[in-house]
Amino acid sequence: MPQEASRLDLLQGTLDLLVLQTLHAIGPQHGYGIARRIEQVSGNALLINQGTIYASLVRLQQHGWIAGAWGQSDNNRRAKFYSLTRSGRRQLQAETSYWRSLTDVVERVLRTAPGGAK
Amino acid sequence: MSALRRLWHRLRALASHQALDREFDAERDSHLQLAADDYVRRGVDPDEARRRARLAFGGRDAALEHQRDARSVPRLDNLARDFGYAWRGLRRERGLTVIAVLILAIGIGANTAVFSLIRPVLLKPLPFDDAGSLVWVANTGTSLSGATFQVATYEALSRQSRSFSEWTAYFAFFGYGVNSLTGLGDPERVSIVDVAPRFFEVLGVRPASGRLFLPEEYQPNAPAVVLVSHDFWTRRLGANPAVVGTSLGLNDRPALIAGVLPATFSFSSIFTPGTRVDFVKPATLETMKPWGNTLSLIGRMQPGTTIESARAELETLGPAIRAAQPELFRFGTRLTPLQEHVSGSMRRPLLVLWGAVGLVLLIVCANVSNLLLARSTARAKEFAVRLALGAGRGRIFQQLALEGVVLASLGGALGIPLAYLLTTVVKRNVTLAIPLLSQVHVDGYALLVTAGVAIGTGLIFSILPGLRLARTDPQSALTDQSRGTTAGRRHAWMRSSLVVAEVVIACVLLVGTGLLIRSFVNLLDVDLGFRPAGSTVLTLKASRDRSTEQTVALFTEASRRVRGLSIVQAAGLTDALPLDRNRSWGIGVPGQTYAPGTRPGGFTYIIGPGYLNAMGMTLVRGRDFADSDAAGTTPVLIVSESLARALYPGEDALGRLAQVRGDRPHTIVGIVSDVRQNSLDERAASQIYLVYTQGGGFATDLVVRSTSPPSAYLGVVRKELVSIDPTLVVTDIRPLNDLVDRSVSPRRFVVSLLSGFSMFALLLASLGIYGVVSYGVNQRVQEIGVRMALGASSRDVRWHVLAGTLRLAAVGIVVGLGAALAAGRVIGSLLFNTSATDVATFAWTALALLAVACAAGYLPALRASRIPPMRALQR
Repeated sequence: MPQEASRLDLLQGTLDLLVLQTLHAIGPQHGYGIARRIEQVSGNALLINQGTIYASLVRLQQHGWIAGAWGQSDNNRRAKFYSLTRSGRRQLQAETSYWRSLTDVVERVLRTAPGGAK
Repeated sequence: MSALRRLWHRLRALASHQALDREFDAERDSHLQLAADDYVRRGVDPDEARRRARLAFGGRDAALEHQRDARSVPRLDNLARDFGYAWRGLRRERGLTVIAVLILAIGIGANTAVFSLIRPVLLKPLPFDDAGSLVWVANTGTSLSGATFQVATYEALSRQSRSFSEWTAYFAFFGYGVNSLTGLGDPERVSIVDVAPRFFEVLGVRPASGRLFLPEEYQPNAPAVVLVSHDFWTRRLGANPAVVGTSLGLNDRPALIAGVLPATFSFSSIFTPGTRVDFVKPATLETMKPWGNTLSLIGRMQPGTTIESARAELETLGPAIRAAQPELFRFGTRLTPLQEHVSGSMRRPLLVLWGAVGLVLLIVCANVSNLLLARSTARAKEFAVRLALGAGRGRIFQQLALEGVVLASLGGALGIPLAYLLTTVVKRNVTLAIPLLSQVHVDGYALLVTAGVAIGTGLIFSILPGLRLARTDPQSALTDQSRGTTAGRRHAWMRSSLVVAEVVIACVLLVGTGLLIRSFVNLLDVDLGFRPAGSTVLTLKASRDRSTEQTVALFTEASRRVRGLSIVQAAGLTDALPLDRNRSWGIGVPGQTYAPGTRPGGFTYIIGPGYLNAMGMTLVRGRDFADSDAAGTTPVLIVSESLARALYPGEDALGRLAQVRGDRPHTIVGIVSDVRQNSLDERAASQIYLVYTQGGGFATDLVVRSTSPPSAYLGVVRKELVSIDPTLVVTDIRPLNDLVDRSVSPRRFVVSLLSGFSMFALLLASLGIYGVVSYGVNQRVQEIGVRMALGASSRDVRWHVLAGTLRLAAVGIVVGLGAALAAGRVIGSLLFNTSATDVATFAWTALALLAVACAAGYLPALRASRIPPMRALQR
């Protein structure tokens, strides 16, 4: 049970970060657009179900990091468009640097050779 | 900030559940549309495009559930479903549910009742405006006259003190039931208290209807006017608002009803608990001026003044007033917040009750928890299936907690009428001297607390079963046919600790109750200095058109004639009784000067011949008053033993002189036993007895002692009285024991409630022991079968089971006695002639618990010993 929970947490948190970064990169976008974009950039390696993105979107909205509004898509379809808010931008910066230092540390640990330091 | 914001959104999401689900579906539709468009643009045919879009999106329900979890408080979202489930589960196991709900109802009901009872005294401000600035100002003495003030002192204080914005007072010696009321059917006796000007205005009490007193109504010879207590108004005047402005006959004079007092203000329940005050009338201070200390004082402090500064001011102001008016009695001031004065000595007993009832709730929790644990074993498989099917452990825990809350809520719902019943019974007891009893209601606030208690209780007692079930390993639980051994042992350990906890709590309650019962018995055993059994007090009244001399002569004749009756052993008149209101006067040896504060004093009784015998007092030396001690003969005096010693230390006081309140010297003709004066647990005090025929007042209470039952002699006595003079009426008859009863009523009340709680705790503990032992026997049927097959006798088996039971009980008792030792310190100040470590009480408690444990463990032991080995092994 504990392992399962932490894996889920990591995934969620990461997805949130990816959504924020995507909105930062391509500007206001609807859920499908965000999901497609992440799939494309990651080479279809990350998301299993596009539906999961909506949990992330609702969470980010509740934090006030993104805002959503219904509008028209390029091909005249009704869709809810999300955009990054000012605090979302700050959050993205904070999380990006956190992510970088985290992966950096993990990377360093993983790179230690067997047998310990000489 | 963002976390708070998120929480807010989550809670809001709960409320707009359906709207958010619709929004999700709208977004999903739009998503599928956009995705399909994309596929079509890439050359996929429309049907296939829609299929692929749905596939890429994933399951709708999973995604929605995912989003619900993210946006809302997921646990609460499933609440309704789980609620229905819990309800069905409880209905399925009706027997267990009924027992649990009953136990909970008693526990929660008792808590609600005690809470309602203590709330007006301990938790709520008095029903006055800004009650915090009201101060009770007492004189330095311990008797009622010692604690009150003269009118002139009151007036000087209220004129000159700067710390107080206003003062008021009431006449502390108003008579209970001494006024006659006519005009409402048969004449009846009522109590009326006289209050100083602006009494209600200072306290901030507004009439329920009508008006308060006008300034001119406090003048001598003003027409009689009264305010009716709310209680009397509803009880005797049919709660009729039209009575305001009409007149009643009070003491043969018409009195105008100016208004009705509000239900929130009951004079007696605040100032004189255990009595009934029906009317309030204006005190004519002008006529009271020549009297002694008679006023009880209440002051309202200026805003911003602390009681310390008020105290300091009065300490300097008091001597200054006396210096300016040397004719005033010496006085001092003791200030207490009015709230404290009212709750007074009941504070600690009520807190102890509250603590005890809290312990009862704990033991209830332990018991229900144990019941549910037994049930959870049976349900282990059900939950294992749910776990295997993917239910989260959190969900299962939540499910159990919810069942607990539902169970406790049912108990709470049933407990409310119980609490209502309890408080009603208590309130009906008008002689119970607990302050603010009239303000006790099971109100919305109490219900709120009950709801809180019920929910808390439910959560507490579901923790253990929840922990156990959530820890279930689905696989082993499903394959396990004979119930797992390790899990079983851990489970048994849980149940055993619960039972031990129950025994500990029951032990603490029993010891506490035992100590208080012992104190109570010791208290009833004290030498009062008089023997109340067999004596009756008759209050006499002659018609008003007699002069004082004529009345005195008539009463003297009545006393003599009653004394002459063969059925009566002794009879005598008095104007005051012990354990009732009282006054004290100073006394001294003529010619001797006393340093301030060292002058002896005594509670003063003005009596007639025969009173001492009628009271069952012991004449240590000398003689009783006689009819020959009349006006004009040598003034005589009887004193109590301790007063005799104080007046003439180391000498014989008999035949010596003493001077009461600057009066001429009296000869001490008798020395009698000291009498308990204020309460049973206060040491006996000094008393002064004067004879009414030598002036100084007149006595109206005729104390009659007889060995026959009251029903036999009272008729004879009354007939004799009527034969002396038809206008001589008996206005009140009460056994002397009533005084003792009223004096011990709060203690009796606390002791009886505590006894009830302890018995309930003992019952629950025995139920708990029984449950655990019989569960253990069921678990070990096979083992017992093997033992018996190998040659163990039924006696061995019985003893084996019983020994296990006793081990549990012994652990509980040892820990419980230790806890009781610590708890004894809390109730130490409530004990009377009983040590908080009273060995007998502790030993009896331990024995009682062991006996109960034996009884509770015996049945399962018997059952175990009767298991046929073959059947046990085949199981």
